[in-house]
Amino acid sequence: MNSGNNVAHYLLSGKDHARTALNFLQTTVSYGMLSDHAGHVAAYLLRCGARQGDRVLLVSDNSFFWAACYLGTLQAGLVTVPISSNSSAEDLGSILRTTGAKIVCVQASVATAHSRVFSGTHLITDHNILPIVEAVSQQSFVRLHLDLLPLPSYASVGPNELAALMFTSGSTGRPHGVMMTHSNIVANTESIISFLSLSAQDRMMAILPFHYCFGASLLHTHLRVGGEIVVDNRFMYPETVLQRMIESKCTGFAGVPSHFQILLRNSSFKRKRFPHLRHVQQAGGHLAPTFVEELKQLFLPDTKIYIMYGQTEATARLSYLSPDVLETKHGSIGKGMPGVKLRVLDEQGRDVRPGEVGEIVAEGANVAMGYWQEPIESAAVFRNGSLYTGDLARVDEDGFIYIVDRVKDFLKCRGEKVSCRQIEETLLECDELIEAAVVGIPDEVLGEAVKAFAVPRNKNVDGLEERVASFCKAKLALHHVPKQIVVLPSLPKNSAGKVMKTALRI
Amino acid sequence: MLQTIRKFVIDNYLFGEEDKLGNEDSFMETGIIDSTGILELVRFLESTYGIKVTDEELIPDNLDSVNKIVSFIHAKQSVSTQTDGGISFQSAGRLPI
Repeated sequence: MNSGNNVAHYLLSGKDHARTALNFLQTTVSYGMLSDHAGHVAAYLLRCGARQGDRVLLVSDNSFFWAACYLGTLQAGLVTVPISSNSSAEDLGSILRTTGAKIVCVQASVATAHSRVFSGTHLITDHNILPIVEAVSQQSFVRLHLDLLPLPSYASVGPNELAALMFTSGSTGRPHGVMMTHSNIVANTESIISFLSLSAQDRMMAILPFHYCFGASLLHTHLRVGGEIVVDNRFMYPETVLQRMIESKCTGFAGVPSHFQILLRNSSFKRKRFPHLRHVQQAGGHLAPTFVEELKQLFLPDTKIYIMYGQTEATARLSYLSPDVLETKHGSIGKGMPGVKLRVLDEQGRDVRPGEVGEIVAEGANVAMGYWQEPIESAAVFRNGSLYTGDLARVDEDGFIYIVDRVKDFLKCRGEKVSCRQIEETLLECDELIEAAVVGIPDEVLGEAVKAFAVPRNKNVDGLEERVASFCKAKLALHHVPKQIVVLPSLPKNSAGKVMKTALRI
Repeated sequence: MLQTIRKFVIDNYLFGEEDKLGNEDSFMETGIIDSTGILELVRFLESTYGIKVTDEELIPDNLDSVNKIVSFIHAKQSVSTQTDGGISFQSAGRLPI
């Protein structure tokens, strides 16, 4: 046990206190200020009676409050449980029950909207609000520094001590609380820093929510190197984000597929210039080749494009495609990142030969301990220290991995397994569409037939179904052509921007 | 116009709960609409009011509340009836951020 293993210590110690850590619209927060406020939160949590290993719920948009509560919880040796501020009262109640959290750091608007859920808990809110009925105690973040001194030290933690319960996106099933240790986070952060060559000169535009592991990894990596995180929660107005990226001289941008699709099809992204942008990171799902091509045309050779693959179960990221081979290994997720061994195994547990399809299995210090209070699901996914990802892939002669699809994201059409993703990629080649998703529907002849959901790029939707159907007929095998095409204004997504196929299958 | 826009937002994003929407409420701060929802709203405005919203006009000053949308559409419509073509709208390039 030592305080050096503590993630908060790993991220904050030894920093130039005057340097900017977080850059918000109205203000900036220095490393000194962030350490101080995290220390105040840590001291307050301990005053509430929390003991090492207790869970603390964190419900907020990206903010100074979020970062200070996250780091303060870790500093005190407690377990942070970050969840979306858009969570329903039912979800909040369910997570409070399953995690047994007795302390909640919550933004005022959520505390007010769902006040009943928080009865029986200690609350820290981002600013003063009226008392929440039946809360055990209530304190405002902005007043913490008036009442107590910051905790001067970091709790000693063992290498396998729990740091966070991060909930999976639930894009293909029910969300699970992934148990991440302090050493998981440190290992993944070190790997990412090394292959991205991040330094104190880096300034990352963060539009991804920090409660999502990809968003959290941006915070971890840039704090560790002493860089700056530019926080912008306005992606619904992409022009404002693009303008801020230019004005803030951001060196990095990170997004999931829907972000890039919106930027490429519904913003002035292609017409703007980003002279300081050093790299772009894409993860959180598959970006169709047509969009990758557009990114290449836009950014190469000055800005590097990193296509990455990861899972919450692996803290955040597992692989990356080196920008050097982006052209030659088109469509690959690359190879395991430093410290991660990725294999593709057949059903007998043997490495597949080039061209064969198997399941991606990961080993590394970033593989989490399992799912919170779900022994059966944990045993199926975390086996002998390896993570069975549920993603099917093939490998080429050089060891580069190509994802075929999620195990759960196949149709059985005429007895043949058909990848939804392949059909989605074809649909997105249609210039009129901005998003597409495919699911299976029962079919008397085919077993399962294709049902496609298509989101048009502009208002010209008259006859769109027919045009999409003709497009598919020209491009796809007859039994892969959608039997049903539903035009939607948008696809259902979670707070991180990931498409929720579970909602489309209803 | 105000009622039509209110109805669209309430029906599509607030499950019909009318009392949850003030005409000055920021869609962004209240979290009523997300990044794809705003595109859906823009498509509705374009088809209902016969306007074209450019990418650069997709900013909070023009669209982030019911009242802002009403002002924006009035301004767009008044320009479309003129022919000088020299009037531009608030766009991201001039935002004080």
